[in-house]
Amino acid sequence: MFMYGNPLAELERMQREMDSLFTHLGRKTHRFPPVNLYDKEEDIIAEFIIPGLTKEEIFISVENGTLQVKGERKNGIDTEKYEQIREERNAGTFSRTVEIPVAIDVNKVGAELKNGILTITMPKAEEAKPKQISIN
Amino acid sequence: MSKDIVKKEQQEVVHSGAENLNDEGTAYSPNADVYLSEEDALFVFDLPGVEKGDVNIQVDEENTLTIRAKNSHLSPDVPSMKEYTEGNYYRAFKLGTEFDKNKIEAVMENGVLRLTVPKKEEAKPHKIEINA
Repeated sequence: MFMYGNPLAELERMQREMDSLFTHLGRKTHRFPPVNLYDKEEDIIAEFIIPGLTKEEIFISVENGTLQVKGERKNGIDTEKYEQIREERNAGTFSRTVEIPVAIDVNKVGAELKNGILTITMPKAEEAKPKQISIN
Repeated sequence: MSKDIVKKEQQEVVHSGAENLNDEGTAYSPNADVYLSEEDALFVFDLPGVEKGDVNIQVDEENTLTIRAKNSHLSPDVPSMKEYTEGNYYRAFKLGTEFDKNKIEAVMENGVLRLTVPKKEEAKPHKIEINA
């Protein structure tokens, strides 16, 4: 006879879903850097919140519909001199991948870094742009 | 020395919630690292989206260090995927009386603010050289 699955497992699954929902809603995530994605008419825009890095320290690649941003955030602190008494900022190597929701023109992807925010502009491929259809 | 550090930690005024900042929108508590040496304290704040001139640093009579920063990167669009909420920044720390609030140095670079708060001369340890 068919039985429902373990109700505890079902609760756990719901909990996980809630957790991931809150992670997306809240400001803090465990993943670094956090990213906001904008789906505009002509472009997909990804904004990575990546304070403290120079453009030479960030590596960006696009492959098979996935955008990857990686690098290392160094805190540049003289550890001989200083003792850390509070640690909230992420440090160390990171790698983030983001699925690009539509087909893009890979050759026209642009990136800009300003005040700790990395903006990657990915123009949509012609077939992915909205089409205006006129009535004859 | 280490007891003082603990005391400072407990005294810290942390505004983790949202708070209005000059009616310019919601303010968030930026992530901060704090370091201590014999000569000074170093505060490092993540302030993404903030221009150099848009940071206000104050220390009041109670030795409360306050950082207010205006985020000029506020998108009018609604993101299709959101992991980060844009807003202005506000955070405050209580400084010990051994710090010299008149000699704070601030450096803003790539959306990161570093504040060096030196100790008063009398609060610094005296180094005694051993002769021969």
